[in-house]
Amino acid sequence: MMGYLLKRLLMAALVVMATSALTFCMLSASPGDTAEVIIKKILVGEEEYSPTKQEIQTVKDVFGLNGPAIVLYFRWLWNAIHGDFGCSYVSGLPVLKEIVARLPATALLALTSTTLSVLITIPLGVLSAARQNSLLDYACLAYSAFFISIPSFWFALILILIFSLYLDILPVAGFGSLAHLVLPSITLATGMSAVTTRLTRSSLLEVLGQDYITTARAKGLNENTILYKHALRNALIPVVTIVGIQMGHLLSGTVIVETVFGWPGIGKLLADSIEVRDIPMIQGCVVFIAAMFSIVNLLVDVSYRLLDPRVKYGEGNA
Amino acid sequence: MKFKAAIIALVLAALLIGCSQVEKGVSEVKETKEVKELLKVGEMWNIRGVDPAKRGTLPKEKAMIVECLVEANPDFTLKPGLAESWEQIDATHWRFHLRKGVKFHDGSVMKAENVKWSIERALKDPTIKSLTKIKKIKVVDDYTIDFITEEPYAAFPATLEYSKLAIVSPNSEMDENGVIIRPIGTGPFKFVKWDTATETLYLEGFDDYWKAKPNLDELVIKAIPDPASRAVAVEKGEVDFTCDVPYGDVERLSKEEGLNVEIHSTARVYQLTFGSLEGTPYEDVRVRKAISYAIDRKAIAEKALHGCAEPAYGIILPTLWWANKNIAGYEYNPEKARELLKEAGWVDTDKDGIVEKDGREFSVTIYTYPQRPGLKPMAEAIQAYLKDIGIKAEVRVMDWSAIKKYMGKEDMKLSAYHLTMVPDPDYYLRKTYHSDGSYNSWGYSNPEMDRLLEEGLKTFDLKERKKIYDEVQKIAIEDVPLIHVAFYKVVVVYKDYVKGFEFNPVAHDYMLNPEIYIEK
Amino acid sequence: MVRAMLNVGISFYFRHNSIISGLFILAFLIAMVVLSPLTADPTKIDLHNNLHPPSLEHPFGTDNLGRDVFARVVNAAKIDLAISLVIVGLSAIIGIAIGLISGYYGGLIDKITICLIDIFLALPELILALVIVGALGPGLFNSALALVALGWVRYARIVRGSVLSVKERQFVEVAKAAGINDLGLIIRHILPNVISPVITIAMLHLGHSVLSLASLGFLGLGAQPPTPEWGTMLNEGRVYLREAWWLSVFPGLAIMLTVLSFTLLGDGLKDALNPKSRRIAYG
Repeated sequence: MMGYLLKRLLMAALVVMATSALTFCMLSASPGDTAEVIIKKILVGEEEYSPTKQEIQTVKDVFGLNGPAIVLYFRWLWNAIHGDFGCSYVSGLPVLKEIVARLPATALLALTSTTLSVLITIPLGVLSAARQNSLLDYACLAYSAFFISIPSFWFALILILIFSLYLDILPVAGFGSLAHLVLPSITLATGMSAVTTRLTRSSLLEVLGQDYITTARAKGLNENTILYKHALRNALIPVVTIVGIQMGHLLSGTVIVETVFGWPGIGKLLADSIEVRDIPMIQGCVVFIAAMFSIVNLLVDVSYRLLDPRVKYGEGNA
Repeated sequence: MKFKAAIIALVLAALLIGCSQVEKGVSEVKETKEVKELLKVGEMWNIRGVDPAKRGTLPKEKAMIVECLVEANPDFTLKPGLAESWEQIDATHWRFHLRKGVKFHDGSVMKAENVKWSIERALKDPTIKSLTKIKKIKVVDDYTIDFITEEPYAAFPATLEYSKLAIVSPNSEMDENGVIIRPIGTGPFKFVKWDTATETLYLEGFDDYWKAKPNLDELVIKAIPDPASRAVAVEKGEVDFTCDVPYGDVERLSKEEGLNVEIHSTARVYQLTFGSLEGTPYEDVRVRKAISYAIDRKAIAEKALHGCAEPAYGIILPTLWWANKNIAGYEYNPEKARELLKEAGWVDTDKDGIVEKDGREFSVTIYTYPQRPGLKPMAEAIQAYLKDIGIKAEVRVMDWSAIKKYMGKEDMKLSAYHLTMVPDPDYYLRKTYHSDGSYNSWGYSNPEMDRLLEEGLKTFDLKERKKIYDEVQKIAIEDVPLIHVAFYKVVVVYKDYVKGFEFNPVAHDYMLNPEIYIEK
Repeated sequence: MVRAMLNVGISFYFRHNSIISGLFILAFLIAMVVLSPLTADPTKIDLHNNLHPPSLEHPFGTDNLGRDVFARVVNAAKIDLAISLVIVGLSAIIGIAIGLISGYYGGLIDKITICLIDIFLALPELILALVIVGALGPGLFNSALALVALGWVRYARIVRGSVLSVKERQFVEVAKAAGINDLGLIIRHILPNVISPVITIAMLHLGHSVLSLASLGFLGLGAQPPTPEWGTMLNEGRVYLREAWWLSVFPGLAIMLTVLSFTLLGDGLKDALNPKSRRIAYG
């Protein structure tokens, strides 16, 4: 087990490093000297400004942009490993500090959405599988298909249109009260639950078709007992996996949802930073998100191994 | 099962922590509501910092925490700020006399060393150094400070109005990198708190402000970057004052009870520039005039931009002191435009709606960028007007850094220039019209214009300068090396119980003033 | 009694018709694309008729420049569908090639490929696409580039897996013994077995691409105006959300229907091509 854990941690670290390298490459390869971008978008804030050579050189010196991209990257990496992610070009404040300041907002949104999603998924998935091919089942399947296909930003706009602008019972955007949390989390939760509902249903159906269930039925056990005590437990194992993966994809979803709802989280920070090419901040956010994603995947994998008796007792698999 | 319980407990804990954070924010706002005279402002940009040297407009123009040596009137004439007066000792030597007894928020008195410290800090930014051309700063005595510029620079005093040159006390709290996180200034409002999570700035009135105690007791500035949210926020009373609501909401909000909607012209101008004036159809001034006549500036301002622009027949906003009000400009006249094109040799020989000359079609691309919401609709409207006189145009929107790569000599670019980063005409006019001007990438060169601009730089008598710049504007419109379409208008929306607001076009977006008060 | 009949009817429809529903919607979309030249000019500006609600003349209303929204939505279909097809096609070709080579030859190439696949799968796709497009500059081309660079992975993984399992089977041994060379083996024997999961994935990928493209457009990084693209139109319409709801409703509806059709098709194909899952009917 330890060996596996170590191997996974190493893999996660590699993934995060690779992401940071990729991001850095992309940012260095972009059109327009980075210094020029800093001057125009951040220092002066006027798109039309024509910086002189002297200004560009000063900015390069002050922001540490002299030298080939490779060298700059390894300098960044070295600092990052020691916990110094540099300072934002925009605010001059440390990147790590700014990301941590916005963490609670994103965490709140993520956790609320996931909870809502689970609250929708489990009953829907169970009922759907229990009464397969009934009207209820098809309604659930329709819900699923619908919310997988709907673009989250569009759904968000529709919700705003109905609940904030026409009915005027919820705020349009922003942060600061429970009311502000409602629409963004519903947007995210519906998208997530669409996928997990389907998987819960199919996983439960597969389990219900298994031999030991048939045996339990033959033994005369009550249908509900079978459903909850035996089937659900085993069916939940892959579902845990999926919920874990969904939490990871949540991080992508938050960029859009936070932007639409003006939710001051890390997703919005990333989107804003990309727009002004705040390279240290972009790097910081991407690394952070990749790290979160990897950690969640790791936890899910570990819990999967812990939960699944087949894996636990069947050594050497996977 | 225990595992599940643990997860549920974790989730609940996180939710509780998150909600308490949120509740804290709500109760804080509730608390301040009990105190009288509080103004809540919805700000359009993200609040990413309060250090004047880095994010000048917020602490100076909006939060009113800091001030500058020089201030400007709405017509862009200069007036004393923290400096009572200034004089010129010689062509590059300026002496500023500071106001005595001005207190910082911590009670200390503002002296020349503080001014030197603030400005030197700002000069670390190379763009500020080029803007002010300051070579050296000398403290003569506690209330007298000298500036030496690199070359004779008549616009120098005006540059000191720039918000990043605001005066801030060295006692301000800074982080380990020297970035100010709690600014101590001389302005009418004191910094209280900056909540980075909700991007809200809390300020309170400064009783010892040198002008007069401000009418408001508290000021809260909340970042609401989404225009639609700003509109809803001011309607519902979440904020009392905001700026730049969506074009579509302007009409509706102005009809609403309890709200004031003001649309003010600024000195920011939408202009159409040519790739090059050499070896292209634009070499011929008749072609340039034709294009200028072809554009219906009024329709664009009223319809495409929903009234949030003012047609520009000159270069400088007519309400400004520096504007030459005797220029007629190019009124919408598509007939004349077609005539001029014909004179220049462009005729539609094959009757396909597009004019040709020497076998070549007049076909161009108009480039613009997405950052200003008015640009795209304006470009598309211009495209339609050009089509009307026989010029085929395609519109492409892209990041301005990419525009440089793709734009050709025969193409056009639509942009929004801040005519006056500082309230002096030299800044924009010289960069645009001088043959060596840094904006002048299209190769306009008129020796008379060059001479005038160079003289304007070195002439220190205001009346003489006005004469020079009037002449500059006249020639600029005659030669029309670039076309000015409209002036950007800012929309300010506030509750009708907010009184005393005076708009000043010197502002980058909008500027609050300490005379504002609440009358409920 | 009626309820039972309803149940039977619906169950019949759903059991066989996820493909048919999907095809139905798709046919409708294709009809729109084909008939698009008959619509009004999507670029014609009419400043005096801007922001008009849906009417007989303009079934989806007009936008802030007076352009016919219906024409723009239909023309955007061409762009979104075409670019998505390109993205999926290129991703598939690259992914299949890499998967085949990696699975067949094994060794170092395989190890590197697995590593790459794991890295790519471990990263949130939209975030990477955002950064790539943000760095390269906004536009359709760069968006497509980014999505292809991230899209090939799903094919490579499946193909590699299939190749690995097919590689060991009897008929391969026989063919090898008969002296067929590597390339022939891959193409004639391995590829056909690999095609069916690929088609399913491609279908779902198409839907996913349309969504991703629209997302990038919505964030301002995709197609730039005046090119009509659904996501970009939603971004532009956002400012007028209250005044002109039609600018925000119809392009989004189009996205949803398109993705829905591909999702249904993908699901149906998955069932049709994979007998084992038919028992479960969905998922």
